[in-house]
Amino acid sequence: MRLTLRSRLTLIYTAVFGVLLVATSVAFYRVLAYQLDADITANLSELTTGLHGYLRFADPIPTVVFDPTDPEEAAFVEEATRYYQVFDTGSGQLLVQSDGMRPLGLQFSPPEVSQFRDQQHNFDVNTDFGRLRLSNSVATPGNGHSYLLQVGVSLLPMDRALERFLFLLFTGVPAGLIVTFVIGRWMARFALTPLSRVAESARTINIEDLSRRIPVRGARDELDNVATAFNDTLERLEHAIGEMRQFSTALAHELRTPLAALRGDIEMAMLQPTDEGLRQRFASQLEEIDRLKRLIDQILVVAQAEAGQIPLAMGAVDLGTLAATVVDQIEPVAQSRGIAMRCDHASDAVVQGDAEWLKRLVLNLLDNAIKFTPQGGEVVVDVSRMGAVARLAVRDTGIGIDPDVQPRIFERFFRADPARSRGVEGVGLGLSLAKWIVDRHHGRIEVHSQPGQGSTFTISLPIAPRSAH
Amino acid sequence: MRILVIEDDQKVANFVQAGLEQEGYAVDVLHDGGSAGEQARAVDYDAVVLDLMLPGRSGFQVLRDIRARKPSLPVLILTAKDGVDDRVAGLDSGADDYMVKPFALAELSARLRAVLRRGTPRENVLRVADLELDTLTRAVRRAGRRIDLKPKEYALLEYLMRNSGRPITKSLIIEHVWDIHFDSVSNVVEVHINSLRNKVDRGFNAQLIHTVRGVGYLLTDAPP
Repeated sequence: MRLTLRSRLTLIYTAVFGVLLVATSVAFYRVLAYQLDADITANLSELTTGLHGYLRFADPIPTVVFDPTDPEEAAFVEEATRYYQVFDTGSGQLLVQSDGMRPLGLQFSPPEVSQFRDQQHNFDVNTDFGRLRLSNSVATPGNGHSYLLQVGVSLLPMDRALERFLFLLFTGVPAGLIVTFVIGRWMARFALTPLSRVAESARTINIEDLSRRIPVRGARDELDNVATAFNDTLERLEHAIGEMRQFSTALAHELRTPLAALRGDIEMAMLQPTDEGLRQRFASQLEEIDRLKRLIDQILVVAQAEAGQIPLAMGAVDLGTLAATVVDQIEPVAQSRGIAMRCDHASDAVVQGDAEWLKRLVLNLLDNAIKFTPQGGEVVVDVSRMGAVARLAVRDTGIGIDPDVQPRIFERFFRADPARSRGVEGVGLGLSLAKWIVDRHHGRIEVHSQPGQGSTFTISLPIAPRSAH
Repeated sequence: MRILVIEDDQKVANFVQAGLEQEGYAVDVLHDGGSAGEQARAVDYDAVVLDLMLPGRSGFQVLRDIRARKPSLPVLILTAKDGVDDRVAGLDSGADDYMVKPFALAELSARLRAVLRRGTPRENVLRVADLELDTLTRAVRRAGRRIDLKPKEYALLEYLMRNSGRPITKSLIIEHVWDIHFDSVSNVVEVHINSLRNKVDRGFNAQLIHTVRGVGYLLTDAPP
């Protein structure tokens, strides 16, 4: 699949932005999670240390003693005692459990209690009410007992915050990507539109009118650079084409004038009464000169055509009627060779074109078909309309074209297998001229051929705008 | 009939002169266009054969000179260029006909006859030996027997009969009988000549349609 420059720019832009967005989001998430976690750990350690100060171990059951009139102290104790429990490390027995802790079902066996006593670090547990972080610390008040104090902080707010942040990322990043894509497309268009404009004005310059130039805006930017470079190329092209035109004119003159003199000499010689053998030789020389003349004519037509020196007289042309006319005129030739020729044509295939050149096109194809179709064969011309396209197909039952050479048959001077086209006059310019004519009419020419079965040349031309109702 | 030939190429000028003299014309040759206008006014020519590429002055300028002095003098242009523009320019600037080099003498004289004949009334009934063609009824008879011809065959026969006794080149035939520019394509003319021969000459002792090798075709009852 080929993407336009605009699409590619947009995609690259979106991809780069997307990678950055995702990387930033992941980093933010990590930092946030780490920070929240660290805050909670610090808070937990503060609560634990503080609670140690309010615990009294006078009874075998520890109690929290504080001054309820001090609001700060009361608030602290309330927070610290929301989740707490105290074990006797010796027996592993649970001595105190806060109301908040009770429904969580965090009962630890004596071996677990002694393990907590030995390791004394924080750990997280999952409960029905969300995650909880517990600190383990040991108090030895000097009454012969040692106690394990567990203080908890709910991780639920942190988990919720992270979840919300993640949700934001999962919706925000795609939304950001979409916005980026739209902006990227717009920016690419913004950047490329002047380029398209340059291309558009370049397209309006054809070979017959090389003196035109692409307007340079004078902004001295990259686009002006492109336009200037293009104009320089046009300049050189104009120069080269000009030389080519002069050359083909000079060539025509230099070749034709001596040929005319030569032909004249021979004709004058023939006027003298001489023996029949000499006359035959003179006649054969005249035939050769005429062949040369035709060759020069053809080469010049192709050269002029390719140099854009041939203006077309465009008008509405009924392709079907035109084909029928040509078939009518060349049918006797086919008949004389024992080839049946037929023309089926629709009446609505009206194209915009130069009737003379289109006739020549059809003629070239028919001529080719006749040349390469053996006696008893058939040549069928079919003109039809398919939507906005007029189709002209020339189908023969001739010798066909080798698949290897099919792509080359529209080249100048190309002749397939000389052994098979022996005795056929021509220099291989007919199809290259045909292609030129089709190109000038903004059409397409295609060939389908099977050696031994025949060939079909199909021409597609756009229907004339006015008749395209 | 006096013809002025303006052609810078010595050899071409020679053969045009010799060829036209052979046909019975009186011929004067100029090798450049400088004095063409004067010459055309001083001498009462019937037609001018003018090469477009002359040293010093272009054939178009010469043509304008001649036209300025003798507006109705037929001018036949010779050109070595074969650009569409050149043809149009040549005919637009007042030439009566043009011819691309190299050309057959037969073509030159046929075109010359055509421009000289211009304006004179055309015969309605053409006759060569016992062959008769009526251009009004389009009826063709040989020895009194009716011959049916297809339109192209008829046009070809009429053209040959109008030029009977003189060879006619293939390119002239194509130009006059067909509306398609065949150039080298196909042997359309041969095929039609053959079918015409089958209808006109077959069964008769005297053959009227002859092939002149290297030149073209000739309709005559007195072959060379």
